This record gives sequence, C-alpha cells and structure tokens, in this order.
Amino acid sequence: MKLFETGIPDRELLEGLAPPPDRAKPLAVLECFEEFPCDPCKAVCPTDAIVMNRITDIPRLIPERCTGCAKCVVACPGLAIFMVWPKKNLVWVPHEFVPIPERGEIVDALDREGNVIAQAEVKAVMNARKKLETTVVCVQVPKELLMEVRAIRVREKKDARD
Amino acid sequence: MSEKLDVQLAVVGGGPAGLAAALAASRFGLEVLLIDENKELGGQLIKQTHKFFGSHNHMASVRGIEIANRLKKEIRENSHITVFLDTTAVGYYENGELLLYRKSPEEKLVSCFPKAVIFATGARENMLAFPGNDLPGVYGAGAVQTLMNVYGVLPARKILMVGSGNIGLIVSYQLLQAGTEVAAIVEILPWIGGYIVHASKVRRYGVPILTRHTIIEARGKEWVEEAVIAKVGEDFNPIEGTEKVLEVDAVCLAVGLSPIVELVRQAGVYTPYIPELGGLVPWHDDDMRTNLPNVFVAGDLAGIEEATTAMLEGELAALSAAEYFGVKSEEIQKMRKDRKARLEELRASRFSDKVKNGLQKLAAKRPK
Repeated sequence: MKLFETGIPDRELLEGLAPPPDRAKPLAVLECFEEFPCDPCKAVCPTDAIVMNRITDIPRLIPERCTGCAKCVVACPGLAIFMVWPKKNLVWVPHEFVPIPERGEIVDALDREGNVIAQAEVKAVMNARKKLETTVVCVQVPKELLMEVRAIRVREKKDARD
Repeated sequence: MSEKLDVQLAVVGGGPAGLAAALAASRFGLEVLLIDENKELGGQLIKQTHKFFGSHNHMASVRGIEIANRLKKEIRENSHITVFLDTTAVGYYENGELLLYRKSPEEKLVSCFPKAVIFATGARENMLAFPGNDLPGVYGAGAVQTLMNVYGVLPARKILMVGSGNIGLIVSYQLLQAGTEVAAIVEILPWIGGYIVHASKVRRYGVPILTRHTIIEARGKEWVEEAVIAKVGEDFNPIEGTEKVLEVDAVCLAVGLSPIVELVRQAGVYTPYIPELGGLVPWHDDDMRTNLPNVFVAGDLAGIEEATTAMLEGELAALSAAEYFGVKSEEIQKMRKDRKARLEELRASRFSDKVKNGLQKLAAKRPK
C-alpha cells in the first residue's frame, strides 16, 4: 500500500466511497484508512450514520442514514472527511487557510497530490467567520472530478496582501 | 537576594501535564505552587493550532490553543493554586530543597522545601548531525512553532522538513498555513511516522513526502541557502549518486524528543535508559510514583507521548500525591480507574506499541 509511504490514498481504498449518481442528498466521503484513537465524526453525527465499535476503529458510513449535513466534515480533526453530491456536481472540502473564498469566486481545485485539476466556482462557505472552527467550502466541479477534488486554493488577489 | 517559601505541593512545568496535575491536586484540598519558566502557561499547547484527536467526550476536535485557554482559566479561578511564571526551577536537592530562579516581577532566588513535587518538565528536541547544521536557518520544530504561532514571525520562505512523525507533519501544515513553501518532507524510515491523515493533508497541498530519504548537508554562506538530500539504503546510509539539492532558506528538524530529566536526577530519582520512551526517563509506576515517596512525574518527562496522555498522567500523579498527603476518598479511586481506562483506550492502536513496550521495560527495572 502506497498510502503509508506517500500520504496519497491508493485507488483500491477509494472504491465504494463514491455516492450513486442519482442520490437525492449529498453523501459524506470518509477517507480515513488507519486505526488510531479518534471518534468525533461518530459523536457529532445526528443520525448515527457513522459506525465505530472501539475508538481505534476505522469509521464506517451507512449511506442510507447520511443526510449530508456536513457536521462530520467540520469535526474531523484529520480533515479526512469530504462531501459529494453528483446530482449537482458539488464537492465540500475543509479549508483552514486564509483568505477564505467568497461565494461565486473561482478557485483552483486540487487533487490528493496537490495538482490543480480544475477551476471551480464556490457555491457555499460554511463557518467562514468562526475563528476556531474548520471552514468548509463547497465547489462545483466537472462530474468526472467529484472523487478527485479534495482541496482548494484561493488565487492570489492583487489587493489582498500588503 | 533569596527568599524562603512554604509549599505543600510544587508542580514543576505548566504544560498539559502540569496544568492537569495542579487542577486535580487542588480538587483534593492540596495547596499547589505551579512553576513555569515561560511568561505564559500552557507549554506546547499554546502552539498547537490543529484539532486534537482522541475521544469526543474528552476534548477531541478541540484545538490545542483552546484547551490551553480552558485550563488556564480554571487555574486562574482556583484559589488553591499559586502560579509562578517566568520562573525556572534550577535545583532540587537531596535535602528536599527546590531552588527557584524568578526573572520577574523582580529578579531573585526563592528557596522552598515542598513536601511533595510533581515534575512535568517535558522534553527537549533532538538534534541531527550533518555538515552545516550550525547555520542560521536550521531550526527545531518547536522553535518554528514558537516563532509562527506565539510571536507571529514567519521563519522561512521555503523550508525542508526533516522527519514525518506527527510533529513534522503538523508543523509542515502550519508552515503552509502561514505562507511558507514546504519543499519536501524527508523521512529516513520506509514509511511515514505520524498519522496518515496528517500526511494526506499536507500532500493535498502539493508537498512531497520522501520516505527512505535524509538530509546530508545544509549549505550557505551566512545562512541556509540550500539543503542536500539523498536516498538511503537498507542500512540507512545515503546512497551515492542519489543526492538532490533543494533551494531552501531553512531546514526544520522534527526528529524526536528526549525527556528533561536533570532535576529529577539531582534529587535521586532513578532514570534508566529506555529508548522507546525517548532516552533517560524517571522510573515510575502506572500511578506516576517514582522511587522517591514524595516525587511524582507526568507528561513527556515520563516518556515521550502527546498532550492528551500527558493530561491524564498529570491527573494520575496528582491522585498519588493526594494519597501521599493522607487524603482518603472514594473519588480518588474512581478518578484513577477512569483515567487509567482512558489511557489504555488511547494507547490501543499500533502508534502506541513503542510506548507500551517502553513502559513494560521500565516496569521491569523497578528499583529494589
């Protein structure tokens, strides 16, 4: 498994995580592949859609229960949970960088290796003003990139610095 | 000028272990003097801008800096705890004297004879030997965090990180957040040392993680201008011909920590060498008692681990100290059982195998 040498999840690990194309709601995508003591995602889920027996277990999602509320995306200390909605071509990613983009802004969409693979429009921003909370940015991307885009980078604005 | 002071329980070190120890001890009526050499309590917590892992019921998903703020507030509001900041414990002698050097509000030496002491002095960073490691721009990860997160100073424009343990990964991420480019993270082992989610997080922003690689030289006239890295073989020696030169203006070392044992050794605490726990460590049982009846230890001093376990150990040390003073309470047994269960739970994954081995070795070295 290359994941433990590179930090990049192997393709086989991602199999089965993508939501079905016709799903009515967004679905959480848990890219957490290693046993270690951590359980906030399970604790914050309002519908018990995330299952763990012991705190060191790898969390498992029950898609039928997931309402797409994004609470786990915000809570995950490892920033390893995303949300995907094929119907509207939307991806939600955690974002702990400044500047925080605004709705309507075009940002660089990055894959799991940091390559810029698309220009994406920001459709929503959660927790933009809560200083200690993780901001979550929702972007629209081409359908084939829904399971590829995992971060965004705000393009530098001429007047944003200095 | 020196002054004498009456102290029941001294807690040396105001990081996560010391803060938790002071608060727990005060719950059982002990009068605590909490000493820290910095101008602010919190130890490493105040630099930790990431959310903690662990159990949701016990401050997981809360950022280290916020945990520090909560504990500091509780300490401030606690009338049983006196805090000496900007104060270094410079000696602990066989006659029980703890000598304090206060730098403010007035520079002076203070002598006290605490009836018991909890040491939570933490750890210091390991250095790595390579040509050029004395150039300005070669930092320990702790210094990088202090500059960025305490003083708001950017330590570099482009940096090489050495070590992929959790500290190396987290500090790389913080550097990215601060606007520094991270050229690469090199790791001498064949696999990443820290939590993989931390690794994926920095990788996503384009930082290559190079396992089986190490730094062999830092070059520059007056400060770091480039770093030379190379692949290593099975014997961990660099392979000739694989050298690569990276243009960076800083190198950050995150290659492990060693417990700060000088004070406990002065007093006669037995400190065997246990590499799995970070080197020389004070012998202690699972209630954080040492071979001296009135000396207790907690946190990284008792074996390199992390802040959540440090806080639990601090509480366990406080419970043992309360018993030493004759406090009898069901609450002690209840708390002890709970904290030990939580420690066991946190140490259940493969990441704690090393620590658990180390603790077993330590237990076998119980002094007669």
